[in-house]
Amino acid sequence: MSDSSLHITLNHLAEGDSAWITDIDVSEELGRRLTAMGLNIGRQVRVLRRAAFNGPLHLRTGNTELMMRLPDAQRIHITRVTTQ
Amino acid sequence: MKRIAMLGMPNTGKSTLFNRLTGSHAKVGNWPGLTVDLMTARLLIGDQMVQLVDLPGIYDIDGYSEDERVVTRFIADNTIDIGLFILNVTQIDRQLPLLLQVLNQNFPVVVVLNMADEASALGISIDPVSLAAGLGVPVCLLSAKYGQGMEQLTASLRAEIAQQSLRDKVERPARPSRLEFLEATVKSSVQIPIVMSTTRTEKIDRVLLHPWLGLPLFFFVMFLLFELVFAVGKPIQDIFAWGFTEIRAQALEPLTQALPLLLQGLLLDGVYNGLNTVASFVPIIILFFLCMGVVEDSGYLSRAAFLMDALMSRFGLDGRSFVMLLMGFGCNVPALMGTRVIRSRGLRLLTMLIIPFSLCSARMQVFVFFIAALFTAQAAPLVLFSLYIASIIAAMLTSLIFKRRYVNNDPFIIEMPPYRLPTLRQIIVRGTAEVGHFLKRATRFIVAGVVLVWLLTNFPQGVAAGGPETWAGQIGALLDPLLSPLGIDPKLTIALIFGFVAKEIVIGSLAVIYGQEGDALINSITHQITWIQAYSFMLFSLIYTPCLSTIATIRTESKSLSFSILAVIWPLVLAWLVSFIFYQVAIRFFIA
Repeated sequence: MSDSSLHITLNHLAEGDSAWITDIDVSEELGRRLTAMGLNIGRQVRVLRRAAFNGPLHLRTGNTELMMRLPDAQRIHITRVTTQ
Repeated sequence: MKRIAMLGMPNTGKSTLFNRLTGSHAKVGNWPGLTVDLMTARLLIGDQMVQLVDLPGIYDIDGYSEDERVVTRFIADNTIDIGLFILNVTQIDRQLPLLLQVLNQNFPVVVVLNMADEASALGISIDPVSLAAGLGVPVCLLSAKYGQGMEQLTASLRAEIAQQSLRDKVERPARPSRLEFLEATVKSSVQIPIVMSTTRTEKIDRVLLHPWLGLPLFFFVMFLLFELVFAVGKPIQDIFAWGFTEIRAQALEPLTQALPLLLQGLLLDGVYNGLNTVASFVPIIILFFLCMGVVEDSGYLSRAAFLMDALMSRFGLDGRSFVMLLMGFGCNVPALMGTRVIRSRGLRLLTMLIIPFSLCSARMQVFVFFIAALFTAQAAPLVLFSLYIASIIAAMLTSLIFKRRYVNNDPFIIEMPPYRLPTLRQIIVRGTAEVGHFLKRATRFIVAGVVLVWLLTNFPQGVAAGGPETWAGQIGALLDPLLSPLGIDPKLTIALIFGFVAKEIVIGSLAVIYGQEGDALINSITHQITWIQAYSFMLFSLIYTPCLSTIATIRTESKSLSFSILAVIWPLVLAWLVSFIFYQVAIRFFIA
């Protein structure tokens, strides 16, 4: 597997997959909210499911579940967790 | 009086703790400069009466969201004697930054670790004593939902208050000022298992958020709720109505017999009917909030938002707006009150603007009457269905037009809390509180409105009530140039004026206006107006103001006069345009 396929944005993460957050490129306001929800650089996040018709993502980080729209997820850079 | 302010993130059980501490004695308090209501209550702690204020749940004291600004403003403008900080102990790791912000405010803090029940179910173990030592403030581990650990909280509050009333200032332990210290403290006193087992919530979500089943199940749940509220509510409303009629016939009419006829009319048809109107909402508001309480507390509301978001976001709305819009098809008033779950003011106002287009059960009575009088049995269901479609189109169109004006400013990141079974106590406290608010705030407005319409339709003295010579009739004549292009004649205009108060009285008012009842009334309506006029009248009735109670609710919930005026004027304009276009097209198309 090439290295570049590991580094993607959160909106590309498949259902059931986990990833490490490597960079968050959002407004200060959204950044604060993400932090408060437990989404920080270095944290692990899992896509539990994607809503139909390009709806939001259902995410889990730590003990918190939340939903996030795709345009917001696109600003979150991740490294996929590979399971060998 | 000492003031205790409750602070914490959303979904930490803050309101549950508030209700647990205060029972049902809470009041909605108006605070200068705040656009939201805050719940307050008086509480006896030891021998001192204190004021407890439930601040909105926030993620960040310096944040930009509506609620965050409310809290910042409150802290700046008011003295806080104790800040009661509530943490969801199962998510303690990510709630620490807010705790740090609160610890660095210049008021004493008591920390509550809530949801002890869930923490032990998840295998999380907490040592509150070592945590208190590390934080430098009292820490209480409790379950607000089940009431465990409440004695310890009141003891801590009592001790804190006693300490504050001492003349000599007590040396307080230092509080951590950096996040790293806080994290280290928590790490040593709270053990969270690394691997979480598959929870019940995940299993339920697999069904309720299923790719294909999720949406049908959502509509089924909404249908059940709707049936529950309105199928159960209607008979109770009927009993209320019967009771009010009986009291009037048995007691009030004989009692007021000696009074002059006009005064009797004012008291009975004006004031008493106004009170009657208010009372008729009580059963459905209670039932609505019982059901919404279950939906909200269970965590399903955020799932509804998840399921509907792809569609609703195009209209500038979200899934919670959609739930309230659906409930509006039963009755607009509780649906408007229910928008309080939407924390962004822009989104909430937009939702409140579109709910009144929902074809409520009162409007349906009017439509059923006109459809039966003027349409064939085969056409009738189609006509009614077309009105439902018109109702949804009016709502969505309004939303598209106004979505840039009422923008959702809060980031759309919604927490999906685990499914929780609400306790009966929680639900009942909520339902009774909501009815109290409605009665307190809407009664005067509604009674005044009913009295006003009574005056319009009964004065000047000596003319036939509801007739063309009354003030209402004169207004009808005055509006004729405006309404005749819609096919609405002066008699129907008087009915629209009555309908402003409540759609329930429209049919009754037609009997007064036409001077006939039952079959004779239907007969004269059939002969005096065409089906095109009737449909135009129904479209107008559907879109213009639903009722006085709706306006009163919009006014008290939005706290904005200009928004309330817009919420009255815009539907009037839209109603006129829609009826005008329909009538003008239909008479050319069908008569030619």
